Amino acid sequence: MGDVMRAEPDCAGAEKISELEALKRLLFAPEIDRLAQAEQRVGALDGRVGSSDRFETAVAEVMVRALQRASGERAQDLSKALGPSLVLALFHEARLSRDNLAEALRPVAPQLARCARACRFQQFDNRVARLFGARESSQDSHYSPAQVERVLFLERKSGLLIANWRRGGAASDNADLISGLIAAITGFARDALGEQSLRSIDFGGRRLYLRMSDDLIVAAETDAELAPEQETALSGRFLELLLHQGGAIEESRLAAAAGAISSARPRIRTPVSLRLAQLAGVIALVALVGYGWRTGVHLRHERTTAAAVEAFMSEHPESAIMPLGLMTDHGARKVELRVLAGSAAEADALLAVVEVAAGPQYRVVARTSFTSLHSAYKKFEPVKEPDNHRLEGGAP
Amino acid sequence: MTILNQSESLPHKSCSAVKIMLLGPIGVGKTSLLRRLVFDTFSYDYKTTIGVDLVSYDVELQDGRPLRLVIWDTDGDFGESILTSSYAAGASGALVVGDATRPQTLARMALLLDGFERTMPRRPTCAVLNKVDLVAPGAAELKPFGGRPVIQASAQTGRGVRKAFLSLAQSIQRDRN
Ligand SMILES: Nc1nc2c(ncn2[C@@H]2O[C@H](COP(=O)(O)OP(=O)(O)O)[C@@H](O)[C@H]2O)c(=O)[nH]1
Ligand SMILES: [Mg+2]
Repeated sequence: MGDVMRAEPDCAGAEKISELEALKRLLFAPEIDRLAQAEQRVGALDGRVGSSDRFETAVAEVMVRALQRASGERAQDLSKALGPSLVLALFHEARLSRDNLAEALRPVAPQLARCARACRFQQFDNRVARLFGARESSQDSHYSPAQVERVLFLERKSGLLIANWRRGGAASDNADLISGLIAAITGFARDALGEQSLRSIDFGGRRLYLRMSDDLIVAAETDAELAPEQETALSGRFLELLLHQGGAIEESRLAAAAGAISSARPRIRTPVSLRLAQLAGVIALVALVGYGWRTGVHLRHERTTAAAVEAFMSEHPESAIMPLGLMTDHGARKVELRVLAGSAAEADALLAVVEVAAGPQYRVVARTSFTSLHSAYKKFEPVKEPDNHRLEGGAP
Repeated sequence: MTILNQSESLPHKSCSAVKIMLLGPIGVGKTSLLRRLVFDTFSYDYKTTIGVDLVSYDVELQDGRPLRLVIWDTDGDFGESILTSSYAAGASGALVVGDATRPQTLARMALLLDGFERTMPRRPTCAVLNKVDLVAPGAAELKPFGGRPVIQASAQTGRGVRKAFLSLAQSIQRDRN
């Protein structure tokens, strides 16, 4: 059969050769295939016995194929067996070499997200989504970055609005007040906490990103957390705006900044097929499982303490407490709670809750700033009914 | 000079805005005065936390020009430290409130008036004596003090409320010209 295939092509040119090839394929297809397979087997064997280097690569290749197949066809099984460890390890690695990893894993991102979901690692799921630039709970390969809803440009001291842009040209309700409140909150952060430049505020459910100079603040209100690329764009654009000290500023410049931030998507790379070297790296990650699990334990711990704070907040809607941050130093076994509170009792109550959630092995310290708060204000019920006429009709 | 209904807010571009501080000891009725002036107050939870609330109110001045007042209602707990805090920065004027039924609040009112004029030179102030509905006409508390004109007001009846904010707005506008 080998001889038949090696029939010498005559010099009648390339056309003839391809005709001949086609004929051979027609007649000897099974034999050609079998030969090709045999060649491959020999190659593979050679690969495995050749050197330890080659052996590693070959193992990686096999494992990767198995992983790919399993993640596609048997996501449930894979997720049970491997998902958590792999995903955990990936997050660790992602922190170290985000770009490379994202590129290497992009083709299997949906499967990874599915694995994570199947494992009910919701938080990890979101991290997978973010790694690939999608928002919370990625819809597989759908990337929808956060949108800038509004940009405010204001005087830092007085909080007076200099310029304001809103998406879709919507009427600017309360822009003066929001700008005033931004100044009040940043002023408070500086006076009470020594925080020189707040970079974001969770503002009654809205998310505000801030950049400021001594005299000016630029703030963006967004519909979701910005991707890192978007925040980088925001920093650049806002710095430009802040450097423009010339008083008046056109709304169009704010609009341009908003557009640039909204469209600063995480770099979309053309899906490349997984390259061997990168994949060997991925496989090596599986070896990081031990580390990964520890990371997982830490993340769960952080989630538990954060959830305890959240629960406390929703159980005490009347309290004037405002948690500013919860930092866990796992090395030092320390949880630091930064909080604004109306009274020491309030702060202590929250601290107690965090202590329970953090467990006996962690020391919880609170950095509390007290706010001026008086009960008289709270007792005062707002006048609701529109009785403007009484302004005129009052006693002389 | 007419007050525009809050709901008919002027479009931002045509309206310049000024920051006004509302100062005075606890319980003199600052928040009540503001609520009397404006119904739809702006309330995020931050008020109790950061000790300040903001209200905006549009007025039309005598020359027909509109002016937006962004009024910072502070908590009395600040005392005079409010004047050196970041809150007072950039204010164009202050409404300082005392309680006609509590003479000691008048002394603190005088301190705040002096303090504001010292830390924010050439920014107008307006002294307001609130809760006049609770004292007999002609009572000693109603006399002007320190040679300052005082506007008698009552958040309860509405008396003098508009007048106080508008006279401050007018002084600010005069100073700006
Ligand atoms: N009778 C009367 N009570 C008032 C008046 N203004 C305020 N109050 C009451 O005084 C108390 C304190 O008022 P509030 O506005 O919270 O004072 P603030 O601390 O200066 O903001 C509340 O119980 C009000 O109902 C007023 O003009 N007349
Ligand atoms: Mg008040």
